[in-house]
Amino acid sequence: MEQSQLEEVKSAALAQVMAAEDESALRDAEVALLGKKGTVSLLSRGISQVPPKERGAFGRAVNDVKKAVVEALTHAREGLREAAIQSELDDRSFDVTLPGIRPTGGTMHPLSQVQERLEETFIAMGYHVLDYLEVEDEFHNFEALNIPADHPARDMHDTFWTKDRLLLRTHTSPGQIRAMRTLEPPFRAVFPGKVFRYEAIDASHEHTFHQLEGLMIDRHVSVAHLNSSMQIMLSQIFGQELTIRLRPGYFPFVEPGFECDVQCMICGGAGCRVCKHSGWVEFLGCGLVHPNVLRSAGLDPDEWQGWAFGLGLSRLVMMQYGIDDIRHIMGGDLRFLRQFA
Amino acid sequence: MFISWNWLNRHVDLSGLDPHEVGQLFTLKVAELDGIHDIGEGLEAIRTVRIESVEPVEGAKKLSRVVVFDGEGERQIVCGAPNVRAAQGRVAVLAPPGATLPNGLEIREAEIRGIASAGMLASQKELGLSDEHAGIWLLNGIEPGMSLPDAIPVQDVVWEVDNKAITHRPDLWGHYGIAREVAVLTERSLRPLEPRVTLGHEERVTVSVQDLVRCPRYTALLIEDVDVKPSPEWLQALLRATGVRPISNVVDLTNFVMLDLGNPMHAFDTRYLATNGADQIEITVRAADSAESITTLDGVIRDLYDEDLLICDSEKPVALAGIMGGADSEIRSDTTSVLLEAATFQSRTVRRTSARLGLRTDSSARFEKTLDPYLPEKAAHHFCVELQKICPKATVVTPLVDISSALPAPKPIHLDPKLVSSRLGVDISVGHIRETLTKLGFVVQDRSDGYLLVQVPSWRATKDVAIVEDLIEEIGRLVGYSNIPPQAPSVVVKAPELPIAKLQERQARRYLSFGAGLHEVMSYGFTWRPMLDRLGADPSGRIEMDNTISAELDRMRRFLIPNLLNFAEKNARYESDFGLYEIGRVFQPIAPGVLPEQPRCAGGILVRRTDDHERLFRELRGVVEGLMDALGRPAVRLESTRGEDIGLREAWMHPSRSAQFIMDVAGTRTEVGFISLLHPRARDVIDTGKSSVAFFEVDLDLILSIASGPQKYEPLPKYPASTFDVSFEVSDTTSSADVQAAIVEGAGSELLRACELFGNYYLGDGKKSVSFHLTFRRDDGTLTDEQVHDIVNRSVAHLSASLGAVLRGG
Repeated sequence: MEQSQLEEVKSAALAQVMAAEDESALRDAEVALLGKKGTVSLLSRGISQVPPKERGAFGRAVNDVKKAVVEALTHAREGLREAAIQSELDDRSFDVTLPGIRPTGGTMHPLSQVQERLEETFIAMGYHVLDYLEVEDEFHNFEALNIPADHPARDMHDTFWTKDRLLLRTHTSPGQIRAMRTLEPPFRAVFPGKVFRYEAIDASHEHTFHQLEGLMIDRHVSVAHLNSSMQIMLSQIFGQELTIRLRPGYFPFVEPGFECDVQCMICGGAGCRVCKHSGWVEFLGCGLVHPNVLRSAGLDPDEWQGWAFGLGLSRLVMMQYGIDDIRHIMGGDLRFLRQFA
Repeated sequence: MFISWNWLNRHVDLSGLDPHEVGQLFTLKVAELDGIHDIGEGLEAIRTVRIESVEPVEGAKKLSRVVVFDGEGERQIVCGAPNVRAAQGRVAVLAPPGATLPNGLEIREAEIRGIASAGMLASQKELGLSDEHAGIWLLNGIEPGMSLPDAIPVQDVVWEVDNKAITHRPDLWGHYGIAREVAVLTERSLRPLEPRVTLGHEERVTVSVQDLVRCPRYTALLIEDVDVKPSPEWLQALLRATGVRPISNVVDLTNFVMLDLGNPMHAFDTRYLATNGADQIEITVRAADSAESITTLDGVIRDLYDEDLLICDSEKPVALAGIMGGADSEIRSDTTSVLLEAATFQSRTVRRTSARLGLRTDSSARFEKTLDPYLPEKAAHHFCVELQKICPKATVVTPLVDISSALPAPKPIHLDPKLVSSRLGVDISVGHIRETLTKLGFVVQDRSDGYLLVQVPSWRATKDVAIVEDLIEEIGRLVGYSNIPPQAPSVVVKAPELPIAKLQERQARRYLSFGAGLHEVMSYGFTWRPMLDRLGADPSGRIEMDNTISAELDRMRRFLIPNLLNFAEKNARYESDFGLYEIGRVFQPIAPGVLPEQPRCAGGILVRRTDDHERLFRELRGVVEGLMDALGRPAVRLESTRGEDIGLREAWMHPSRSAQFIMDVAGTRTEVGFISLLHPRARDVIDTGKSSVAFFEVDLDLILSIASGPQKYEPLPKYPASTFDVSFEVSDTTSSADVQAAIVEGAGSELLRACELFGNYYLGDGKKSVSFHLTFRRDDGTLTDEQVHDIVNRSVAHLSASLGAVLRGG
């Protein structure tokens, strides 16, 4: 075979490669040229017809052709790939605004979310977090808390009674007695949970709601300590420095007892609809633990003192999310719950 | 309770003070005010007029043409009120053209039925003074031609005191007690009550009290020549402002004294009281007997019990002590002789009777607080003094008959002044303490040891002030809590125990919400009875309530599931695929009167639009297994025993498509929960559309009471594993767990590392195919195919022998 023939095969092969417009045409060309029966592959077979002396040169020449074709193929491939990349980069039909497809996720109840956040705050401040019984006895719910039988304060606690004269706790305060009887003073503890009041339900009243009670027992506890603790605690809860005020409030298990108001966070105390134009929002009840309560729990009031507070978790949740109907909290409606993902 | 600013001014000169500002101070230092209301504002243009003539309007039955004298001249008004017809000569109230009523109505000259009308004769309601709107307001003892606020003190500021905030302060249930506090707050002086009335000497009333514990003091006196008529306008205005409807001078004055001093009283018409041969009224205070009844003033017949206390004449009960008088002896317009009662009753007695009868009155609300036993005498004199002012002929003909137990002596409290500073956390001088307590009516004496001897005034001594802490509160509140600088408590230098149980509960919640994709709900501690009934469940074994909001909530929940089913059904109206869970306490009775077991449980429910119940069951089972892993308790596993074999008996559980979760608690195999499909009968009544329901419940407290095993690292394998898949045909009643156990047992080799089900197909004719993926591995070299085959063959032979399994492939 003449050199000119080889050149012919070569230029035909390169033309075929260059003519390929996409990867599949290129693959076809590759098979047609370099496959078992490809025109370029078949060139090697011609070597038998070449005189032995010239075989070396012929072989080299054939290899050159092969090499040129392989290079051409590689080059063509790179070109195609580059064109494809450029085309993808230039493509403006890809829609990034299509909605996300989420993994199937559930939700945590808003009350759990708020409660957990409060618990975290208290844990960070060195409090125990405890959980006490919901069916209680009269002693823990009333008597030990300085609310003897026929005390008018029992009116504030319309009570659910069981047939066997137990009751559903009307507040989380029985936890005070249980905590004092089990924890080694000094200590600080909070106990959130469900409480029950015998009253009809409407948008702002529920017979079942949630409270969070707090208790600190130490050797010397004053109103000044309580004031400071409430200020720190409420600032932590709301994540901003707050102004609070204490004013007289009546709870039989504390003496003195206080209502603790927070300066309205909406108007900063100037007065608005939320604070009913008073500049203050009533937030929790608190006070120094009544000596009778310390005694009921087995602590000597001359040795130990304490403060306690109780706040309405359900109410806090409603405030936080602007929920206008308390019945949603215990309502189990997915249309409500899904809003708190 | 409503407190009138005008009324307070009777006891303290508050001139120049702003009732709103003083109200703020009262909230900060005494008790919370729920509101401060201005009443009678904008009534300056309203005038008093005399009705000169009234004529019917032709063709309009209800209308009258009225000519009134307004002080300057006559004007003509058309009026539709029925009571105007008989009002000729009376003084009424005119809203002249140009006046605007509190409800926004602007008065204009008008022509009605062709008759010009120069204004409107107004009712109390139209003036915003009360709800009275039966007719126009007719005044007594008022001249025509005056501006209304000049004629009658209708303009007032009313404080609405939060009753809960004064539960412990019987002294604050009247204007005088409030005035005492206000005097201290404003640094003005409290006027003493007016002098006593002149009493008579006739022995026409006797009193006998059978139980001085339940009635510590009873006083009575007889008043003759009483002229019952409407109260003067000033008195009516005060009563209206405080929410009490004026009736007649005698009744109004009993209310007035109650609202002033806080001691309820009662007036009897003596015509309806029996007398003895000596013309004496014999009052007896005694316990009721359970066969008795009394018709109270409100016309209701009340059946009595022996816990009730009665006021009786010599023949019959005439009043329910401290709660309400009897209907017969009430004051009428022609009453001339009045027996006045002023007494103190035991709080518990009044509370019990009023609670049982559901009869809460202004009187019972006060007696429940335990009133000052020194008060009845003051109240009786106060009544008589005021009565004689408005009814000068009235004469007290008897002495004050006064039966009482020994009145309590003032209670002394030894107060260490240093303790006041220590408890409040701010320095308070002895002088300041002495001064503050004295202003409030405490008597303070210095003692040589530095202590103060403090005597509590009788009006604070019944339930309120008894110990040092109570005195500290008095000083603290008047110092002003905002004047106590906050002081951080000393740090407790002790690492707090982490609340493990709480943290695990959070872990469970996170897994169930974000791992398993369920939605957390909260439901009542009660079980929703209609759901239980629809499910056909036996409600026994649940704590029964004695009082219920509704019959639907009459028992506590023993399981979380029925409430969750209720929620599932509600939500199935909107969605067909979802899962709910709740973490909460359930209640398991132990014995009557003993606190029940109240474990925290986690319950979940899956609602899936599928007919493949086995698949649904597996999905939920996976959720629970994942929960156990999340809690670090992988040892809790499903027992393959069917529910029917292990006593899962609630009607909503599926006896043959349920199972229990088991763990080892202190060497004892313990049930910690269950998983089940809905019983087919329950499925028929619970409407979840085309979706099927499966649920689980586990006792978190029980699970978490067992320490989690230590988790250990396993070295990564050095040699590759060989895998082998096998399928068997077995009877469709053979459980996959049994097949799996047989494979492992038959293999009898530690080289079989895992045996996982990947197929379970029902073939019909009582057969099914189960396929397992087997994994073999050596730690010390590569396994040969022969070794694997040997083990598989042993398993196949064992399965064939023990379960009659036929190898289908492998």
